Amino acid sequence: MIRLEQVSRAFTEGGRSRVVLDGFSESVTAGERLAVVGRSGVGKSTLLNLIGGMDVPDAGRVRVGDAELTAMSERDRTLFRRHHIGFIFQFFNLIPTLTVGENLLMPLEMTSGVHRAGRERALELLRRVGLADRREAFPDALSGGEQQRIAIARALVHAPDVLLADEPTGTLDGETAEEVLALLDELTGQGKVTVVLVTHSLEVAGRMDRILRLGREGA
Amino acid sequence: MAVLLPRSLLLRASLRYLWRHPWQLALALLGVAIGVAVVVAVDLANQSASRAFTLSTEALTGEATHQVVGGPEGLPEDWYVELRTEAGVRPSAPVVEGFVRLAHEEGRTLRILGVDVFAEAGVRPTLGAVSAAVSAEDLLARAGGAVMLAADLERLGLSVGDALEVQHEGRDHTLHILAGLEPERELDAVGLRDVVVMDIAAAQELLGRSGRLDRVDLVLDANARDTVAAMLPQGARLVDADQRAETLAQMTDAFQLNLQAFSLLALVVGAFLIYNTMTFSVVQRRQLMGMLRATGTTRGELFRTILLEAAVIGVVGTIAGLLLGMALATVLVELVTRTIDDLYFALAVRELNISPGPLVRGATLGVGMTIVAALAPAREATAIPPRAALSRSFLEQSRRRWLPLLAGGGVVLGALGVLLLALTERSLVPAFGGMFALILGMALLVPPLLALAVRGLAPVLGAVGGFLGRMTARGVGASLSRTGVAAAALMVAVSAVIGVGVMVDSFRTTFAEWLEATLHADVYVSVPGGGAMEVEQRERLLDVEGIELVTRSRFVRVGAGDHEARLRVFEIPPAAERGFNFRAGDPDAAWEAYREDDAVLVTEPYAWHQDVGVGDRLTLTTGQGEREFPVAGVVYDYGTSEGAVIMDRSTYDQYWDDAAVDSLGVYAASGVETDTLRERLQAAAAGGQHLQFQSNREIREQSLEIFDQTFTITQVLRMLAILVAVTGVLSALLALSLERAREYAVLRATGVTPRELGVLVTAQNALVGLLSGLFAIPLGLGLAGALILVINQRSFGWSMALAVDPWILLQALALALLAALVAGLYPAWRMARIPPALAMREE
Amino acid sequence: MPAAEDHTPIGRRLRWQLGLTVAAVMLVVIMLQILSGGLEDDSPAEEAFDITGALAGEEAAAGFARVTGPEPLEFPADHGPHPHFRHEWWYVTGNVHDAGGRHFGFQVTLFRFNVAPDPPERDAVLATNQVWMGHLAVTDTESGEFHHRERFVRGAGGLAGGVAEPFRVWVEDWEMVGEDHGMMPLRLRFPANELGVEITLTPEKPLVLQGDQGYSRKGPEPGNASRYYSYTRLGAEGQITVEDTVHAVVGQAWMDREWGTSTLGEDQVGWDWFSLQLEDGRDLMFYELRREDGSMDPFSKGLVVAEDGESRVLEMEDVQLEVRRHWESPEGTRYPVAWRMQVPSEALDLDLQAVLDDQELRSAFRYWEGAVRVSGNNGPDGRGYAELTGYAGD
Repeated sequence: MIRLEQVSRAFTEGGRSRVVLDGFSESVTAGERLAVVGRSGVGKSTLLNLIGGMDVPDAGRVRVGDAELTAMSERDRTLFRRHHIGFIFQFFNLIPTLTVGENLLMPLEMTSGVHRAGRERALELLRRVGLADRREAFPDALSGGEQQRIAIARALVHAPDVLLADEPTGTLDGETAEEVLALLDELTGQGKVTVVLVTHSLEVAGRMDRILRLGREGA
Repeated sequence: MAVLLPRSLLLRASLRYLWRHPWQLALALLGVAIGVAVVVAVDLANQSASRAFTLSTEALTGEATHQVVGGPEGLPEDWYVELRTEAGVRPSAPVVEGFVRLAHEEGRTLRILGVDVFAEAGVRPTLGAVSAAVSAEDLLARAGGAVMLAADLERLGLSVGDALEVQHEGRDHTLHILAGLEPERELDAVGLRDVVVMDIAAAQELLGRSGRLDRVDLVLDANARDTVAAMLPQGARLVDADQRAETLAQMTDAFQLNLQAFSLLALVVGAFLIYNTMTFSVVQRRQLMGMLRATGTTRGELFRTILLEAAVIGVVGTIAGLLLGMALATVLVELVTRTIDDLYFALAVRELNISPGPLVRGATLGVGMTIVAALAPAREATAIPPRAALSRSFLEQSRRRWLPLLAGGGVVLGALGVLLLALTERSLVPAFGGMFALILGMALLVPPLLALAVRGLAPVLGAVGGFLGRMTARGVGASLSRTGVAAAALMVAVSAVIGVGVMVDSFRTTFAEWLEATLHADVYVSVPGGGAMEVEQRERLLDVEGIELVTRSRFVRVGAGDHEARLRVFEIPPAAERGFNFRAGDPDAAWEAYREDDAVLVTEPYAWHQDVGVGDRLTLTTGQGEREFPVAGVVYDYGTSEGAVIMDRSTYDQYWDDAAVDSLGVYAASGVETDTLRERLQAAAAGGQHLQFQSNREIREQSLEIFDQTFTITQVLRMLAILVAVTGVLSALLALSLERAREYAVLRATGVTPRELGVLVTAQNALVGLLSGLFAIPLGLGLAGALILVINQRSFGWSMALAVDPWILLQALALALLAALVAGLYPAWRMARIPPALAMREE
Repeated sequence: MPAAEDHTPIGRRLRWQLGLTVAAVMLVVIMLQILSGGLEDDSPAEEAFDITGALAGEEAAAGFARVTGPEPLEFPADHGPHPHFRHEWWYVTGNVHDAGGRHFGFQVTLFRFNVAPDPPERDAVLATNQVWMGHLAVTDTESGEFHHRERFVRGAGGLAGGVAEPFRVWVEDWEMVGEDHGMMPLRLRFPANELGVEITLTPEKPLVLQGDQGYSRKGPEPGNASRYYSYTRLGAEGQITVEDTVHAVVGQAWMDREWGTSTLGEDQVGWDWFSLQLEDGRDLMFYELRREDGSMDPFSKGLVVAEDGESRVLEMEDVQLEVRRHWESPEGTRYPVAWRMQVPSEALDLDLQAVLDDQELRSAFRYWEGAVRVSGNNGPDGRGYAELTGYAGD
C-alpha cells in the first residue's frame, strides 16, 4: 500500500543542513497498522508528511497505492490527499470557524459532495465517537479529548485509504488518551484502513500491528 | 538592532518579537510614518504659506503702526506734502503700489512698491538703505529705476544695469535694474520677494497714478494719530496697520484649518493601524504572555512592555514620518500657495520653511497617538490569565462582549457629532469636532455591524460556496479583533473619499451652474493682468458694428468700517439682470432699489463673513467720506470667498470720482457670430493698449480649470488618506493570515489546494472590503453633508447644492474592494504557497 | 524691527505655542524698548547716498553750472537756490544762553544738492534732480550733551525747496523764513520733536562777500570754487528745545551762504573751518584746507570783519594755527578740539577750546561741527564755531 524507496530528506535550519532521512526505505501493506517510534528529530513527522504528500523528499520515491506521490504536482498531491488520506494531528485539528458537524462534513464536501449517505455516515461517526449531541458546537467549546475524538471522526469520514496520525494522544491525560486510543482501535482495526501512527509512547505503539523504530542506525 | 537591545529580558523578548515579524513591524511603522508625514506636511505647508504671508506683510508694512489708505482714487500727493511740511508727522512714508506682469513669463506678476527712500528710514529701514545702494540720480531723476532682491534678479537672469520688460494695464514698460538688495534680515529677504522697489515718482509714472498715492504708512503715537485723523482727505481712511494685516490673514484661516483637519484624518487612520498591530502582537503572543504571567510577571510589567513596544514603533515611525513629511511638504506648499493665490491673494512662497513648531507637533501627535492606540491592546495583555495554553476564542469572546458597548458608544458619539454640527452657529472648531465625533462614532459601530453582517451572510455564502463560503463569512466574524479594525480604518478612509468627492463634485456643479447663469455676454474684454481700460480703447470698441449692448465693470477695494471690501461696480442693462440669482431679497424690488435708491447687493460669502443681510446698511468710505448704503439683496456668487459688494455704476459715480472701467461685457446683436464680433473688437483695439477678448465659454473653461487647480490639494490629501488606509488593511489582513497559518495548514493537510485556499483568503478580504465600502457610504454622505452644509458654509460662506453622483459611490465601493483585495494579495499568495508541512511546524 | 523673529501665527495653533509666542513677543518688545530708550538721543547713523561725492570730484562735475570767477551777486535773487549748481547751503551757527547764563551752541543747516545735471523730462511732479539735506544740532554745554538730527528730502512737490522772495528755504517742516520780504531778519523754524530751534536772527553787521567779491577759490582749477557770502554777526533770540524742555535764549549767530559745483581740489581731503565772534566786535573766519599729505593747502583763507563791518581777507600766511589737543570719537576718528590761533596782523593770540569734545554729527555725512570758547592770550575773549571735515573714515 505504501512504499518508500531510498527516500532522503534534509532541512536547512539556522543555516545548517540537517539530514533527517537518508536513503530510507520501508513499505506498509494494505490494512497494516504501523507505529513509528523514535527520539525527537529522527524524522517521524517528516515521514508522515512525506506519505501524506505534504512534503516531498529530496531524493527517492514515495508511493501510496497506485499513486507515485513523488511524480505528482503539488496540486495533484493535494487532490490525492483530499481523497485518499486522513490526518490526525497532536493538536489543532479542527477548523475553529466551523461547527463540529461542519468540520466533519468538510472532507465529504471536498470529495464526493455532501449526500444523504455522507450525512448519515458523519452522524454515525459522531455517534460512534460519542459526541452526537455536540454537533452544533464550535471546536473551542470542546475538551482536548473531545476534540481529538472529532479529529478521528473527521479523518475517517470520507473513508480514506490511509490514516496518518501524529501523536494523537500527546496532549491528553492518561484516561482520556485511553478513550481516544480505544476509539481509534475500534474504527481502524481489522484491516479497515492502513494506519501510520507516530508516537513516543511504547504503550500506544504496542496497540499497532507493527512497530518501526527510527533512529540513527535505522535511518 | 543588537545595540538597541534593552537590559530587561522581557523587553528584549518583546522587541525581538517585533524584529522577527518584519512585515508587521514595517507596516506599523509605515502607518505611523504616513500619518505623521501627512500631518507634518500640511502643517509645514500651511506654516510656510502663513510665514511667507506674515513676512511679506511685515516687510511691506515695516514699522508702520497705521496707514492712511485712499479709496479707488487714491490719496493726493499734496496731502502727503502737507503732512510732512505743515503737520511734521514723521515717520511717514508714501506708497504707490500695483502689480505688473513679466513680459516674458506668462502669468508671473511682480509687485511694484513705489516709495520715497528718504522717508523709509523710520518705516522700512531696509528700503531706506536703498539710498546708499543706488545713485540718487538714477533713482530720483530718471524714470523706470527698479531695485529687487538680488536673489530675485538671479532667478530672472538679470543683473544690475539690465532692462526688465513688464506690462501694466496692457501697456509695455521697460524698467532698469539699479541694484540687487541683499537684506540682512530674513524678514526682508523673504518678504520682499517678487517686489520691485521703485522711487515713488517712477512708480507713479509706471502705474499711471500721477499725483496720487495709494497709501501713507505711519508710525504714530496717540497724539500724532489724532493729528492725522483730523486732516484726512476725503475718501481716505486711517487704519491700524496690524489690524489690516490681520484681516487679510484671517481670510486664509478657515482654509488652513480645513487642510489641517484633513491631515488629522490621515493620522486617525494611522492610529487604527497602530492599534491593529499592537493588538495583533498581543493576541499572537497570548500563550507566551500567559506563560509569563504564570512565571510571575506582573500585569503592570506586561502593560508597560506593550506600551514601550508601541513607543519604539511610535518613535521610529515618527522619525520616518517627519522626514517623509518634509519631503511631502515641498509638494504641498506649492499646492497650498496656489490655492491661496486662487482664493485670496498673491503670495510669493518659493520654498518650504522648516520650522520646529510643525515638527514638534507632528512628533507629539505621532508618538502620542501610537501610545494611546496601544493602550487597549496593552490592557488586553494584562487580562490574559496566567496559564500556558489558551484558546484564541477567549480573546474573541471577550471582545464580543464589548460589541454592545462599542455599538452604544458609536451611537452616542455619532449623535454628539450630529449635534455639534447642527447646533453650533458660526464657529468652525466645533464643526470639525462634530465631524470627527461622527467619524469615530461610525468607526466604533463598524465591528458590531460587521458581526451582524457576517452572521446574516454566513448562510447565504454557505449556500453558494459551501464550507469555504461559510468559512469566509465566519472567518471575518470570528476574528473581529482584526477585521473590525481593518474595516473601520478602511471605512473611515473611504468615507472621507466619498465625503470629499461629493463635496468637491457638488461644489463644482454649483460653480459651473453659477458660471453658466452669470456669464451672458458673448465677449468679455479686459486688460490682461487686470487694471483699467484706456478711454480711447473703450470708445473704439463701442464703435464696433454688431453690438447689442454692453455692460461695464469696475473692481475696486473700499473701506467698509473695520475692513476693506471688494466693490464691484456694474453698469448692467436690465436685460443682463438675469445673471444674478438671489439668495435673499426680492429680485424685482432689489433691482429697483439698486438702480434708484443707491442700494447695493452683497454676495453670499460677504453676507456670511460680515454678518449682513437684506435691510442692513453698509458703511462705505466713499470719495466724499463715509456713506451708508442699504443692502437690497444677497446674491449667489462663487467668484471669491472673501465676498464682494455690488453697486450700480451711477451710484458709484455719484460718490467716487473714478471713471475707470476694468472690463466690458459685449452682447452680440442678433445674427452676429461671437467669433465675428470678437474679431471685429480685436481689430478695433489693435495697436493700442493690450486687451484680452474672451468668450463666455472660454471664461467658464478657465474658471473651472482654476477650480480644479484649487482643489488639487484636497484630492492629494484624499489620496494620502487612502494610502494610509490601504496600509492599514494590508497590515490587518497580513496579520490575520499569519495568525491563521495553522488553521490554513489543517485545511491544506485535509486536501484544500493552494488555489482554493487563495480563493478563501481573498474572498474574506473582499468581504471586508465590500462591507467597509458599504458602511462607508452612509458616513461618506453624512460627511459630504457636513462639509457642504456646515464646514464650507462656515469657512467660505458659500452655499451649494448637495449633488450625489452615484458614480462616486460606486467608485468608492470599488476602491474599498480593490484596497482590500490588493492589500490581501500578498497574504493570500503567501498562505497558499507555504507547504502545509512547514506551516504545521511549531513556531 | 519689532518681532523680526516672531511670525505671528495665523490659523489655528496649539495653545502652548501661542503662549510661547506671546512670551517671545513680549521679550522682544521689552528689549527693543530698552534699546530704543538707550538710543533715543541720537539719530541713527545710517547710510544714505554719497554726498561727499557732491563736494569733490572734477570728473563728476560735468554738466553742472560752475563758479569760475568773480561775478556780481544779485540780491535778493541770490539768497534763493541755484539749482544748476551741484551743492549749496544755508548755514547758521550760533552761541546763545538762557536767562541764567546757561550756554547752548546751535547749528541749523539746509543743504541742497543736484544729483543729475541733465534730468529727463518727467511726468511725475515728485521726480527731481534736487535733493535736500537738513542738519540740526544743539550743544547743551551745561549737561555736556550734544544732540543732532538729519533729514534727506527730495526737492519736489513742495517737500523741500527755496524761494528768494519772499525768502523761504525749507526741508519739510524745517525752514528758514524771512520775517519781511527779504532774507533778514530771518526766522529759523526747526520745530521741536524732542529737539527744536525757533530763533530769529537780526543782522548786527551787514552781509560780507567772502574771497574775491564772493568768489571763493579753493583749488588749483578755476572751477574749484564757490560763491560765498556771510552774515558774520547776527543777533539771535528765541528758544531752544531739548528733550521737551524749552529754553528761552539770546546770543549771537553767524550765517554762511555758499554754492558751487566742485569745491575741493583733487588732493584736498577736508577742511578745518572757524567762525569766531570776539568780544571787541571783531569777527574772524578762517578755513584751513587740508591736503592728503597732511599739509595745509595754500588756498586756505580767512576774513576779518571789523566792528563797523569793514572786512579784510586773510591769506594762509596771515594765520598760524596749532592744534593743542585731540579727541577720539567712539569710532576712532581723531578730531582736533583745542587750538592756538595767532593772527599777528590783527594782534590776536587766541586759545580755541571746544565747549564739548564730542560734537560730531554721526549722520550720513559725518563731520564735527561745534561751539568753541575763545580765550584771548593776547586780545579779547569770544565765542565761535568750528567745522572739521574729512576726518571720518571715508
